[in-house]
Amino acid sequence: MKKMTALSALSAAAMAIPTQAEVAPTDTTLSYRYSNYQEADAPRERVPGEFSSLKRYAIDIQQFGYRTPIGDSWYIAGELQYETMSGASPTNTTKNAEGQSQLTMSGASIEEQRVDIKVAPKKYFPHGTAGGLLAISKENDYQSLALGLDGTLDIFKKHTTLIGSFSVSNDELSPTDTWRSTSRAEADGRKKRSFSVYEGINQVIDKYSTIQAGIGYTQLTGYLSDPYKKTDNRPDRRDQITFSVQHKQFANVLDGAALHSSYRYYYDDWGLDSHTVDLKWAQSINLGKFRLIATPLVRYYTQTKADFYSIEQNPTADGFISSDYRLSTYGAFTVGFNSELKFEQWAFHLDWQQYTSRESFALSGTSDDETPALVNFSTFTAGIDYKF
Amino acid sequence: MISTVLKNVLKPLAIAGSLILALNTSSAFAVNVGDSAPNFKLPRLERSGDIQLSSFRGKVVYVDFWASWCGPCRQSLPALNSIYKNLRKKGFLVIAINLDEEKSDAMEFLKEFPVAFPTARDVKGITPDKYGLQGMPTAYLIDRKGNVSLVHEGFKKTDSEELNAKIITLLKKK
Amino acid sequence: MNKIFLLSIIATCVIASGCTTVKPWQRGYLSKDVMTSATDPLGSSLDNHIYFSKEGASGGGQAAGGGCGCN
Repeated sequence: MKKMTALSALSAAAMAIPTQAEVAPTDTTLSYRYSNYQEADAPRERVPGEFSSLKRYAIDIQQFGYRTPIGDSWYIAGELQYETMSGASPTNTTKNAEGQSQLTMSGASIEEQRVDIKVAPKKYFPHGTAGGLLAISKENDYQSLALGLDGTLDIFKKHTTLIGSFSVSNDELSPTDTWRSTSRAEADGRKKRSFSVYEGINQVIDKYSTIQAGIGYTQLTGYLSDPYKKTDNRPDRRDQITFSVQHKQFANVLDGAALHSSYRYYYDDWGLDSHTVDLKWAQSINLGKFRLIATPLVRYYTQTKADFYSIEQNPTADGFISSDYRLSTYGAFTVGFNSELKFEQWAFHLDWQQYTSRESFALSGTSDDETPALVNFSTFTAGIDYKF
Repeated sequence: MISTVLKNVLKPLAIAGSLILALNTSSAFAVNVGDSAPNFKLPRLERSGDIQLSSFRGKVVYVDFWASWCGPCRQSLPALNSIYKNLRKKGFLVIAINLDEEKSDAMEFLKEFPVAFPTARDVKGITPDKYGLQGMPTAYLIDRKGNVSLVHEGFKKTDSEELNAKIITLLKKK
Repeated sequence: MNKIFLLSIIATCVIASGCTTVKPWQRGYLSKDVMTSATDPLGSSLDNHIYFSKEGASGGGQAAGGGCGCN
């Protein structure tokens, strides 16, 4: 995964924000995960040049997690991610003489490594928590540092929890092979900054269910274009807003199950807006000394294009242009299956997900142009946790 | 657009929501230090028969409300078991009242953390209501005269020593 | 604007009044791991990492918004 800023790590670490009244966990947990991410080949019929490689990204990710209590009311969670990536990505799209979209793949297959470290301490009070996050990410051509603070407060006799978090990040680009293009040379040493807040409320509905709603705002400034893409010029500022709702419902099926559903609306001032719906069914099954939690899941994602997105080099009046599929109109479905097998102090994980995106899956705003760079990928994860 | 949303929607929302939620969870009575401990008669968990608090007047009793899903209970029950074993001859008793909805969950927990003191079951939650329980776990240390001497919420490993000292002090009184 | 305002008030009232009092000892079901484990921290860390770099949107959920440098 290219250029993952540490700020996105905040979303993940913030998942550790307890959404219900909790006491400091007393267990120490060691975790390891190995994941493989594989993108499907670029469509042959859309890539001109018979010797162009169709191979897109293949990424191996290893995660090491360590969480432990410190004293009576502190808890610290740390994660180390190590990732190696190889493959190519599209540099740009064009239309051929027949008006069909075409993809130009970058010449060489890159080999890159990324290291990511996150540390999040948390203090537990009788009626809430206060925590921080430090995240550092480093790869050949990008480095990022992010800091965050978060807190929760229980009110109405722990039926309602107020959640707030705030974070900032500072990134620096250093594209490889700056001799290859002016955009690479220009981006070298450029910075990208972000500032983000999230406010949410978690409410206990009854013995079996909870609901959480929240609003987030993020502002990105600095060099926001993609230096590896041909003719990619984006504004130097991006304002993003999210509105999200999550619901959890316990169901007395077999040995217990829960339906997790969530919805997120996203809007930014580049013209992009999106909807995401997520459904997971976590099913517990007792097997003697073992317990299995089997979780099938589906996700639907749809987005509309950025104002300056275009399949060809057609800059808007202010000179902004990008043919990056991530700014186009499309929809995507994920189907997946996560499983966790628990045995005494151990837990074994096996997860799989398949992601398929198409212009026709978009909810609204499709155009006649195809987006040949849309990505399909599958991920597979195997992992172990040990608690003591 | 954002400021209009904030003004017209979020503010009234917050007020309306808060009012309703506050009404839903208005304060209730809670037993405090110095109060007489409310009596209870509950079925035993690990064997047949009942157990009644008033029949132990004259002993120092630690009434502990627990459940299999309560994290700190994994620390408290074994710790209490040690203290009980040391001080039972001097007139100390623990009555651990289980509040699990499923009896099997409680029994599983006791398999992992067996205890020598009596356990009881209150599936309807009448006793914790009588005591005005605010959180899980909560325990009430009752002196030989039947009055609450300490209300202990939560449990950390380091609580053992302090508890032990307080119990010994109460045991010395008549 | 007024319609959204009205709808939000109604929704909040419905949800809030549907909210029953859950006593501290009645939180067993909410604490079960099927209710909490669907968001295992390392798993969500990876999921977000992938989605924020492969899609246009980022952030949401419980977090401060993402700001993915995924170009």
